Amino acid sequence: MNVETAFDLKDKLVEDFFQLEEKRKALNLNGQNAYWTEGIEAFKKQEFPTTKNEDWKYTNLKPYLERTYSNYQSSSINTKIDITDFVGNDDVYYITFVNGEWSEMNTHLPKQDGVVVSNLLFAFETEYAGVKNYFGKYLSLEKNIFSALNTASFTDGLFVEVAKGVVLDKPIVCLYLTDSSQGNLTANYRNLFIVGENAQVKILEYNYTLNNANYVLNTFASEVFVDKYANVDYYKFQLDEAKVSQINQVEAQQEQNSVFTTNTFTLSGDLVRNEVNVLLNGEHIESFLNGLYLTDGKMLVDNRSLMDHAKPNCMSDEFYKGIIGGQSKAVFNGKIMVRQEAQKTNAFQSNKNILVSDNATINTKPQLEIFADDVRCTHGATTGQINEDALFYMQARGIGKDVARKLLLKSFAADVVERVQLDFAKEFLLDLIARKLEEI
Amino acid sequence: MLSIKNLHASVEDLCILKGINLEVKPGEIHAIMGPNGSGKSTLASVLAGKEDYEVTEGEVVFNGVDLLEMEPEDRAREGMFLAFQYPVEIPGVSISNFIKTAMNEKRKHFGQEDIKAVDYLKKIKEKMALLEINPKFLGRSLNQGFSGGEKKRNEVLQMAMLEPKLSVLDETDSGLDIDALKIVANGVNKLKTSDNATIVITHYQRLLDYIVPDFVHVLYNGQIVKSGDKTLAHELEKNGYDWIKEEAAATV
Repeated sequence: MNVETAFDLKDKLVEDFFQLEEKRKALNLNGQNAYWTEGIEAFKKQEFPTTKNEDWKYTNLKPYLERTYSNYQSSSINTKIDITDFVGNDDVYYITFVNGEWSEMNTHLPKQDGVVVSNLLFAFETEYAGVKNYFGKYLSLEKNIFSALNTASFTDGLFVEVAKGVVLDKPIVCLYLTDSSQGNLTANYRNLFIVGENAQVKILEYNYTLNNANYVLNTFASEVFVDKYANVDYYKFQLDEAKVSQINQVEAQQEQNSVFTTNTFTLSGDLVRNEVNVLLNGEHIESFLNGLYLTDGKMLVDNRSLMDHAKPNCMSDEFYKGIIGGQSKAVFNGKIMVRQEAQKTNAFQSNKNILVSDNATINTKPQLEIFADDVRCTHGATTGQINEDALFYMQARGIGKDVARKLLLKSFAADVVERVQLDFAKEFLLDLIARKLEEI
Repeated sequence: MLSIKNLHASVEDLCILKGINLEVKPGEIHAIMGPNGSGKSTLASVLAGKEDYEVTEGEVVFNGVDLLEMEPEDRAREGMFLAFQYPVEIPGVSISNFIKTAMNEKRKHFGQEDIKAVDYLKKIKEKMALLEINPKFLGRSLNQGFSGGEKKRNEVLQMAMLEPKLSVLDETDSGLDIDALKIVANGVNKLKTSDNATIVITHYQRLLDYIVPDFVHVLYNGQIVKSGDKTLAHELEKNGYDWIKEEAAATV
């Protein structure tokens, strides 16, 4: 099932691997090159999926794979940024990457005992135990060609390790900036978050395009380990411009009594594919997946998830909403797996959509696989249009149709926004939504 | 204030209003009664500007302007208010935010600044006290999970805040027990001035014990077939609508 294209992107990326390898020689990797090598071997063995592959049924990659993309394009943007412009708050730690490279000058890291936040290459160079113990542990190279591609090609990423019992005093912000002024571009980011027993951390990622000149295909792979009684609040603000695509994977493992929340907000970009897989590997775990996508133009947003209940007495709650306009397309595929041992599981899943244009499409598919007999699982998916009766009701009170429509759409999104625990992120999101609704 | 002449309206090619004539002056309360399917709610919807209804003939002049040419929101801003028979539930929009938005849209229409938050709160608290509404109400989502009585009281609260020139109450009594009905009717009476007018649409006479009309009109088969004073309502209550239907049949 090969994607037939005029040229072979796979060959091109394999060639790029050797260039990237040359560059890595300059780093002090102490023989840790094996990670990348395993990646390229796995990548060579796989093919890019077509829509015949069930996992990619509604997301046709062909148009995105017909282009060529180059690794490692230096950006001319090397000025100091104001973090407030990007996240609406400066009371945060932050780290910045531009086109796959760490921007040291745009980084402000915590100096707190028991906390390591750095770019991933630094963690490799200093041979942190966390890298040795956890890197590559949760992301399977065989499962997905993009896992293999990311492992073969990542140039950097975010490393976070929080020791037992440590509560980070401020959120960590990670900016991924894209500047495609030099040509079509690809960057591959690899993240590793290790959150120790009873530790707490909030991590927020933002994708921004500085220059939308050419096409971009970025990949992100994040491995997250949430130890017992830990609490991790993870946000993704996907705000790229119309030529920038991203393939995103999160592989998380939670231990007993931990809480992990992933919030994915997609407001722009070209193709945005998000895959979040969580293994609930202990009892009394709570796991939340919140998502909101507002799409227009020709965007394609594909959210996939797996909540894998392996142990009893856990709760998972998945809550995604979408407002889909223009000729855009949204895909939702949420799978809940309840293994035989996972009695007394509570699993919720909801996906609600509003189509605001006749040419917009949604494909939503909940999947339940339940092998335990004493569980409570609910799932529901709805797709509708703006409620005309509500619109008229508002007009009949003097509220103009356009204002009424926005108020209704904003209210539709409100319960996802309410789930955001950080006030500045909530404000920021509300502002993004308001601006986006001007366009949809 | 309102002048309806020979109004014809249809929905999906079915003619429902077949020549309505009605004059309403400031300070007046008109009741429109009639059996089910006579066109009462259609009249209310046409006045408010619901798209599903097509006006095929006739005219409606509201304070000197052609009402039918106006968008629903402009009718509201110019002082037309429809209290809905079935107020729509809108999750995620609080009553407070909704009414404030509506007021500011009206103010914008007349070139005024947005109402100050303090003034707004003061005013809505006053009106809520007047209508015996619990202040906790304000933060709740519009009509969501409201009882029938709460929905209707919320309609009257909006009316109190927007201060319309003409209020059309569409079956405001439907689904209300007698206590809720009294509260709603009292609210409407408290808002009554010599400058505004009210059209009460109802099937039953009961509401008219509390909102006493100056005129009663009987709508049947898309036309006003009989008009009178409040005694007409009592007559209808006693004798039902059959004699009206017979009279109407005889004149045809």
